Amino acid sequence: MTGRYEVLEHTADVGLRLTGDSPEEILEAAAEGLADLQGAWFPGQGQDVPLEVSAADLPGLLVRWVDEVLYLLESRDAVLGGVSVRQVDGGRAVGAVRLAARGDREPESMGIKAATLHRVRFERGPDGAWSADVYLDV
Amino acid sequence: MEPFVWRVPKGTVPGMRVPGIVFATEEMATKAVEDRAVEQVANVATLPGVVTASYAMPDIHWGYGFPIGGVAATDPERDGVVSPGGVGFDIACGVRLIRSDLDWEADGREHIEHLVHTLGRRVPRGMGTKGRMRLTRDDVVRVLREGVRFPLSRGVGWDEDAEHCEDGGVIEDARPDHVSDRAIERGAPQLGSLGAGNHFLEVQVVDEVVDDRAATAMGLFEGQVCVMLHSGSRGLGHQTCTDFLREVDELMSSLGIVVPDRQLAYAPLGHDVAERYLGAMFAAANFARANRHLLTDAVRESFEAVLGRSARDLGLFLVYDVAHNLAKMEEHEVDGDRRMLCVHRKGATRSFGPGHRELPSRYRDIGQPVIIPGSMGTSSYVLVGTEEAASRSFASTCHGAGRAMSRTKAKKVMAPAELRNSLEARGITVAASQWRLLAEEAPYAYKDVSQVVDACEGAGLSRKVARLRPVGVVKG
Repeated sequence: MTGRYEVLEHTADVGLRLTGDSPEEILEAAAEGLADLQGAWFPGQGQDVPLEVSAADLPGLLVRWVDEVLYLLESRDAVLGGVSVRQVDGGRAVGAVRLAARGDREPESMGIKAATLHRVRFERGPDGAWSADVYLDV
Repeated sequence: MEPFVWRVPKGTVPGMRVPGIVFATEEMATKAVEDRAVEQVANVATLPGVVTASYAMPDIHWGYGFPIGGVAATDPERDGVVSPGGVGFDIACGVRLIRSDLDWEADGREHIEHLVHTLGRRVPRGMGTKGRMRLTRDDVVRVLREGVRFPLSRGVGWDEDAEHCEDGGVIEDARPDHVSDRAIERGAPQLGSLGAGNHFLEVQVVDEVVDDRAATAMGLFEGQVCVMLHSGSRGLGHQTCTDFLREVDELMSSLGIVVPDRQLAYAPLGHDVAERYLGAMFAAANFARANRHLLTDAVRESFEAVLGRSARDLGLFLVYDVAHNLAKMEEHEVDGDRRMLCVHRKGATRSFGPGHRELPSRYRDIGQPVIIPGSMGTSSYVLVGTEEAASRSFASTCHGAGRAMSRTKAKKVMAPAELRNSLEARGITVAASQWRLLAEEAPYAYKDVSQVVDACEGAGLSRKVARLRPVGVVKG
């Protein structure tokens, strides 16, 4: 994965700026960034769980992808060991996340509740590189 | 316009149907402009059916869609809408105050370390924690329908607790059948847990009583030990908002409607999506009340364990429980007519004045208690609603100090150990589950709560009753 994320300032909440060579890398970076903020990024551990989401447009797809990863982490009381997005095709993303039981780990979590649609963007620049922003409710 | 009142004229952003009104000092208003929160006030004024004005309370700051501190009422008879972003993800997040008969100097000071650490052990907190009550799916559905009546039916809590909650602890129009399986799955293990982020529980001492009559009605006196807690609807509320935000976003797209901020997506009142959202949101609100009710039980147990007396003997009664993220149908006056409006409060507290029929008899003569937490380590306040607030802000006031600094900046200002030492040097015992993140909620990351409540009083939105100072902090 060569996608990257950086944290965006927000008075009450927090944002992720995502960059990569493909839309697939953007979604991979989003999952890693989310898990890192939740104190739940443990690369290499766990079992792969298939993941597929769809939306009417790419920004909507990014929000749903983040929400789906958040739901899996919370409902399965899990940490994220990896992420692989096989294909982003229009408004559909197909991939997998690697989940491991949280167990006795006590993640230092920012307490993210959801991804918002506020100022969300997901686009390809003139140089062919992809970038996106998504703000998360804390 | 007048002291503490700033007008955002129609035309500030295209499509404004009403002006914006920001209640603030000049310094707060300037900061809100720099923060772009005032632009969000203007964006809210574009919502269909919005009446009178888009308001912001003095703790205004940049949110998403609505500003934090935003209040807007929409009229179903004038094509009004409901916006899930105008309530937020933590549906019915709110605050409650529990009083005691204990005097800090005589009965409290010597036990504070033991008490805070006992609370820290007995109050489930942090992300994904298991709550205090194990629930089947059917139990969760009952919580969604019955609010605090469900734990009461299981023998948890006291009957009078319900009376001192907003809506008597249950919104009768709740529709558990509109809450998704996913939301129930997320919420079921979490009932009776504090959560993370800015959620907290504080042991406080009443430092100053400003209004003797109101304080007496609430059972408050100077030197008294109290407990304030701040929590919401946990994963159940977060998922409910997520589910409906998706639906309204799709609805906007299908209707070809574009809003200034996509998080302002809405559904027209009366539309199937709006009706299902309202029913689900009320159900999540009932979950939030039941959550704080169970946390209160943990508080009572902790005091009993440390002080060796029953909670009743210690006088651990609920003063009031009120939400600050909610939309409700309320009757207000618009252009001389009484109308039922959908009042969105996003980081704002309802503040009914004296005589309002929805208030419990104990508070009907003084107005609704409004519980305002300060930032960690600073004063908190108890206020009461005013008659004036009904015409000025659809009976709304502030909800807290309001953030002034991002979390990332706050963490750079002071190391966790330094912050802990600084709090303890001021006589505040701290139990945190995540020490590294403590600095995100440091006092310097927030506005001065005293200035915020002064601005609310100056604008006529609420009146001060008492100021409390923290002596123990339990952080999520």
